[in-house]
Amino acid sequence: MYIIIVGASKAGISLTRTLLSAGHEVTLIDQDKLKVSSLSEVLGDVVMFGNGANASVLKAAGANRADVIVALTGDDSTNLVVCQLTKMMFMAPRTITRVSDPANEPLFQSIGVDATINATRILNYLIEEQVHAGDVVVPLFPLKGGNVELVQAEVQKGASVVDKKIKDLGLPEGIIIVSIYRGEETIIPKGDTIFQQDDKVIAIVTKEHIDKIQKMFKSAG
Amino acid sequence: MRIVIIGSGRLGSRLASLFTKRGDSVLMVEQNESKFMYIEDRQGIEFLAGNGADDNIIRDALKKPADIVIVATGNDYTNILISQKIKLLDKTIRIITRLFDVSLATVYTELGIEILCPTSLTIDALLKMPGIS
Repeated sequence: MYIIIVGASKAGISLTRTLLSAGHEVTLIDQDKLKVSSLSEVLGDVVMFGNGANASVLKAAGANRADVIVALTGDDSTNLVVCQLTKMMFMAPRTITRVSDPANEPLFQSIGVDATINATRILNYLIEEQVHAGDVVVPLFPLKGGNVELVQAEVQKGASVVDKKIKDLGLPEGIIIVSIYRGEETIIPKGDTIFQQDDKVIAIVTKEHIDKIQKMFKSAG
Repeated sequence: MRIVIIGSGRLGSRLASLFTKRGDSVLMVEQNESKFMYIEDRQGIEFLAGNGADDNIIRDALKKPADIVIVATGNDYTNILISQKIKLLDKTIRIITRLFDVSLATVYTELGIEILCPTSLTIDALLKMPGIS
């Protein structure tokens, strides 16, 4: 793949290294001349001097043939312009961006950015995950701005779902069972799949149904 | 009319004084309070100290329904972010955004944002000057 990264932040540099060693073609753009010249000594032609929020710079970097453009400057407005220019001028590429202020995420989603990375939110989730370690349901990943979550749950001894078919549980629309891990086996569930004790269940759940799924898999005691 | 102006630079502060004198009600949003204090004719201009890109400040600024918002901070990217955030909060309000960069102005006009580009206006005016056209 060809990936353009805008912003030689710590994250930008580290991502460039990772992608290069994975065999991808990368261009890292930054408008700090000193930074670019010192990075060039290590990374070579990969580093390019210029303002990545400028359409002609993106074009010169080869945005037309890029598969992904990643905006990693420390400034949300700059990242927004990088993503919007990409969407407007270079139709094909996927855009991924860092969003520093969580309040800006809805805007990035509304303009069709493919993925937003918010360090604050990820940290919050990691901490939350630790806090909830004793619970049956563990949040894995927030989707669509956090209203929907991918969660993992374990079927405890004597839980209400044990020996029941999925179709008989009367699951609301806000819960989708994605897969079940049983020992070494991975099961793609169907309506007549039956839950067993110790099953590990991956599900997509809306926020308001987290409590319900918690109850379903918890031991009756 | 109720007019909200974000950014009290040369453009914002002049407009604020003009509109106030004309009888409009003007709210100026500026994060640098001392900048506001230097506006010569600031009598009658309401002032809100804060970052115009902040959701809470935007909500505060629009508490009294406004007819027009003029986004005129000194940074094009900031203006782009602010105007689209306001649009997301209130689809009906008229937002005029100042952008210096002509190519950005072209792109964002295409995206349906009302843009005022001083660079283009100057070029247009210059080309109409006697002895140049």
